[in-house]
Amino acid sequence: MSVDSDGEAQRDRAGKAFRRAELDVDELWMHYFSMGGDAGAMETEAYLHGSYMLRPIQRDLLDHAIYELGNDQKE
Amino acid sequence: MTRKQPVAAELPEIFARVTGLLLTEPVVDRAVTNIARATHQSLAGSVGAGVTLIDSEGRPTSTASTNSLVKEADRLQYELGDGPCLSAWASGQAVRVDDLREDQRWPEWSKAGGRLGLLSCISVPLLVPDLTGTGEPEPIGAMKVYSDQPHAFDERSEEVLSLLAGPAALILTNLQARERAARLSDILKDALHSRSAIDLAKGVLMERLHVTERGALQFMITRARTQGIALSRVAQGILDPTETDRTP
Repeated sequence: MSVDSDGEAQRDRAGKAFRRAELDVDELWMHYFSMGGDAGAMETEAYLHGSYMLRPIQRDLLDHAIYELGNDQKE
Repeated sequence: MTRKQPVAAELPEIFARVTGLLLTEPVVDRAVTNIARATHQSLAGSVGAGVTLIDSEGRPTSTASTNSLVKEADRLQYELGDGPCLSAWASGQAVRVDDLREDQRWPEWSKAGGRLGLLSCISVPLLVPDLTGTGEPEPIGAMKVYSDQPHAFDERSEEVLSLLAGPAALILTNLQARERAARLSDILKDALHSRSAIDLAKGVLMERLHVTERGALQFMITRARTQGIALSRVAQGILDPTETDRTP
């Protein structure tokens, strides 16, 4: 069994940030997609719930998509 | 959060439209007008029937009716913002008015309807089943039938009208999907534009800074966050340095 503790920690943080910002998962996926994300909407949702793993670059993109949408919402 | 933009779930509609799976507007119009006509003919006492699509703000978006009397009664209702069709749509329940002269639920509309010679009516919601199969059916409009006699309709008429509303709702959903697809393809165009700019800028940086793909992305993300701008703007800046700040 492969263990990717960095990936899992990043995933945990992303899931928490996503829930804290109360984002709509479809809207988030579209934003992530517009930045070059290539995971599907369903994989993205599963990742945020901790049941799927994304590649490192996809994780970074999704982090930033959450960051940008979260900021948009605060304004 | 009130802002909602269900995008990902509706992407299949765009492809359905592109591949011609969605019906065109004239086809839908004709089918719905036929249903209105069938309704009018199958309910004794009817002087006219109609179907109205209602958007989420309670505004009518398109209609089909058997005659101008129905059209006028509808117009009044949406102008007043009150009436049996709007109630049927909002509540998801059938609404029957046995005598407009005595009904107190929508006094203004009843008065106006009475002047048109309409004395009773039934409105049923147009319901489409929730696609995920978990939630409640969604009301997308109303179908109604009018009479110039009081007490023209009973429970049975209500049942017949509800039965006919089923196929009408399904056909109209197709039209709504088409409109959503048009709106969505604009959103998708923007997304694809930004996506390719970011991809290109990533490639430029990889070459220029001799970094990996992830390194290039992290470079752009850091810049976006320190400058407080969107990632797509950072990418534009890298691709067209004359427009914004200096690139590395």
